[in-house]
Amino acid sequence: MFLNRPNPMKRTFRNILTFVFFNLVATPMFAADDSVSTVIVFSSLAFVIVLLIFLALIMGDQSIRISRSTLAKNKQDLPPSFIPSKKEIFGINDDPIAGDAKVHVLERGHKIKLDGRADVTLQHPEINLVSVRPTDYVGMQPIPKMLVAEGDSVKIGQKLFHDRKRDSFFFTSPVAGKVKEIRRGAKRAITDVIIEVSKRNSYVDFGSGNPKSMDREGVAEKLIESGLWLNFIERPFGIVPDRSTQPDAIYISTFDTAPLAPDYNQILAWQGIEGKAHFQKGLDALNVLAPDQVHLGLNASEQPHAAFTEAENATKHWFKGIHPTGNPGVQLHHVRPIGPNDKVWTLRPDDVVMIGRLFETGKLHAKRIVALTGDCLSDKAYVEVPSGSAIGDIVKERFDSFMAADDRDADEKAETSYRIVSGNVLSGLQINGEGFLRNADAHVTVLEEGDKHEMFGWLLPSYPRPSINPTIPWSLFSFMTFKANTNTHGELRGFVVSGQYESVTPMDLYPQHLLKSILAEDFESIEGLGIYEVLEEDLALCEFVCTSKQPVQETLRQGLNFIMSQR
Amino acid sequence: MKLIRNFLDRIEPDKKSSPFLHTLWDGFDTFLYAPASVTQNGVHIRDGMDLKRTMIHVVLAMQLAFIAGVVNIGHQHYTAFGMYGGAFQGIGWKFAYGLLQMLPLIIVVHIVGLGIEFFFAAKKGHSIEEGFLVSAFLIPMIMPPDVPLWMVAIATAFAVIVAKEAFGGTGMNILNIALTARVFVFFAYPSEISGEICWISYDYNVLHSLLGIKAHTVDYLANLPNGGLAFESMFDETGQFIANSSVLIDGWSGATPLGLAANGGWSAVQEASYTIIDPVTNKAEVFQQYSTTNLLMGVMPGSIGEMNKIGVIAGALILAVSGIGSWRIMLSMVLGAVAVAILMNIMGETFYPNQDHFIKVPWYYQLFMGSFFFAMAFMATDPVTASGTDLGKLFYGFGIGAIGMVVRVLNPAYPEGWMLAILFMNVFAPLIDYFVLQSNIKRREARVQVQ
Repeated sequence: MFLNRPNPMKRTFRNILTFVFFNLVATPMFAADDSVSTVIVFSSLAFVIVLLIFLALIMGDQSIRISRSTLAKNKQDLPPSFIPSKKEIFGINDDPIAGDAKVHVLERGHKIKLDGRADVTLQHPEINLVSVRPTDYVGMQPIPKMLVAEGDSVKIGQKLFHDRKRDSFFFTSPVAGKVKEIRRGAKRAITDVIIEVSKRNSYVDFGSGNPKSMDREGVAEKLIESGLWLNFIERPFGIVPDRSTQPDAIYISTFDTAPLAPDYNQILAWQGIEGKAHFQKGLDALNVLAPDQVHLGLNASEQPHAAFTEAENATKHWFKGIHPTGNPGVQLHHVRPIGPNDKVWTLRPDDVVMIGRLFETGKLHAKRIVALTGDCLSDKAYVEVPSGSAIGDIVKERFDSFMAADDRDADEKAETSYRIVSGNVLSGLQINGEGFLRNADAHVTVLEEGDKHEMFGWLLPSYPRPSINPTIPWSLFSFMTFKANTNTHGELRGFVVSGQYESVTPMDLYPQHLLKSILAEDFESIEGLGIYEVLEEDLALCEFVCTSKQPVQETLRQGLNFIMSQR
Repeated sequence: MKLIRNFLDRIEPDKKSSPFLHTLWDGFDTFLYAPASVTQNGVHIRDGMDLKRTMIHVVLAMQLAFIAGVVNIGHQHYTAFGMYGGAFQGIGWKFAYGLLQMLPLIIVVHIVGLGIEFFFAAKKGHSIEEGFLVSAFLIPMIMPPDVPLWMVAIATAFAVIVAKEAFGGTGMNILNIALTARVFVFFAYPSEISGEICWISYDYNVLHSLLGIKAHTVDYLANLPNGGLAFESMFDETGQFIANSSVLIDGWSGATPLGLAANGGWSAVQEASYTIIDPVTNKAEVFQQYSTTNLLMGVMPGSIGEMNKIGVIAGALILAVSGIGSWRIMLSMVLGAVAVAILMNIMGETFYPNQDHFIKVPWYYQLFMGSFFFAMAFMATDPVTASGTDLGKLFYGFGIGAIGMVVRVLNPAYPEGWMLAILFMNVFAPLIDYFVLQSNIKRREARVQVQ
């Protein structure tokens, strides 16, 4: 019907102009009795006026600043602007820490504010039992080849067992003592090799040496023999690397942003000048494994320890943001994305110190400074213990005194149970009171079990709980910290809400679609959507925030195993 | 408190031997108590938000619009017969009448929909999912107030079975469930959901509601017996339940603003009026039927959802601020609709220079007629059927806004477009996501190759 009219194009053109004038400006302006149009006209007028004033202010301010900065002798003398800077309004730091280096500012993520941060004190509790376990590492054969028997006495650094398939998997004893028990689980798989710690320390000598003068094979041999090789995590897939693998890069994140995570700056500070030297030596050793491809991720919102900032032979990358910014996976995404054919190894700073110490002294020093956290412990502190220590030796007294100080009535106390997590609350491992720390963990969290029904808990939550959603009222108060428990706060459902995972994942990644493609076993999508860039810990926050209570980390591991099996 | 808990624990039926009973018990149990389940390995603490809470907040966000709409159903009814002309006159009667109309609708939808949900949940052996909580409230809000209950029951059953359970339940559906129910009525019984008669509840007729025995005409209504004030005589001499009392007033038409605009442009909407004769002074007073204030406050015939714009916008704000509804979809949908409406205004100047036409209705009034805001706040933002990526949501919302406006204005038969536009974009949402994800994959490949 439109086409029959004469010359519609010409007319349209003319009418666009008339329309803009009459319909947007004139008609609403003169239709004084019309409430809606009056509002539109006046609000747009007001908006324009505000905009003009704002522009005038900014231009005046800038011209004053420019003219005075030419007079000022150095940068500190710059006159203050009368418009507050972003820093003054939002409290954003302008990065004096990172200096002139480029800072990756990651905005997405979520900080779960939990009660129970560890005090900054270092203690040395006595440890009686230590366990070494093959199950802490991905891709291990369930029944390793044992090199010791029950009752044998072992030195620090002595080989206990190795993987049957891959010869780089030597497990060594972190303590001197006697093999007390070789515990077996289902199908005779070895779950724990428990060593009773003796008072006297005796070491296996690996020989000291300067890694700079050694070749790759020499360095690798030393790490494998001492068992420190197991601390490497190879991405993609999060496995222990093969002896022959040439890493494309080695990445160390020097800070941990997980809830209640240990502060590596503090840990390095306790190790003093020695610790700094050992860290550097460790970096030197890594540099032999991956020449010029050792990377350090530094925290730009808190002054890092001098060992990190003054490290040599390593490329430094500065990051600023909340959890999961501290995860090596997230940082790697921004500085060195991992493709299907890449091999990138990650380490934690205390592992690097251990490596450095091995080369310096020739002895294995398998002690870690572990942060004891969580609101169900008293006397929360950092403790220096051998890796894989019995959890009872570390937390029993603290937990008992917490219970003694607990002033709830006896019934309520008897009904409450507690959970010990080796690691942080997002990706740690649940262990019982007789259990052992994971060999690589420097963090313990103790929290209350949430195994109680809550009347109308979904509608009227009766106690504070962390959440990213503003409908949970406590999430609106930024000063709140929470005594979280392990209740799921809901039941498992299908994926419904969208955009939630993305809001806590500071990567160019679509976790929900990745998970869906894993469930569909769609190989190409899984690969394309970036499974090589993530491990469980990187998507742990997605699992925390998930409204549908999906097992995100489990599904991701399923996907990683699927891809591994297809290659 | 403990008593109820212990009682619930005691009566828990066996899941194997009586799955239906167990599903029923489980639904009730989890409604009354948040479950005591704890996390296993993986994360050890979970966010306080769950799907029940998400869904109930959508329902809560609707309440303002719902209550205003219920009152307005009564208001339209009484005004049509020349009673209680002022907005607040007889507001109790209006509310009661509105509830009388809406409650059976809500109850029927819940019984039919939840019944089917229970059945499928028990069959599949999982617990009842909350998605239907919202759908069950949305369906009555987008139906004409007088729609026969059996029709709603069939539409609900169709929507739940075909649009939802056939695809695998909550979270798997492709089409919006509430809109599927409406589109079912729309195509199966078009006379009940279009035209002038359906949008005002003229009489409360149980036979009509339940069985659809008699479709009333305006002529019939105009000759209803004059039976005094509301509820004084609830039944006429034929035993028919009536809550109305007088004959229709002069100049009354049940035409919606959109219906008027489709035939005569914006001026027809402005000129619509009716006359009420004051029973005491016997003076006739002329009211403008669709002033802009009336449009804003929802004093107009229609389904509940399209009435009170203030309530709906408040609901939209609740959803957007709480992050339950996507602000991206809402914003881009407004932009899409406004852009197309402005384009149409320009076209109107070109093609109909000297006559009033639907296409020339100013773009800002286009938003306030019909159910634009309701569709924006509660229909388009359904996370399951919308695009799942943030970028995709922008395209998805814009598409709904643009297409909806085209359907509303340019289709010759039915002057409203959001239902069809949203269903259309529902179907295209996976495609939008596909392109967004493809671009993500391409970026990733490029990043890795740079290394």
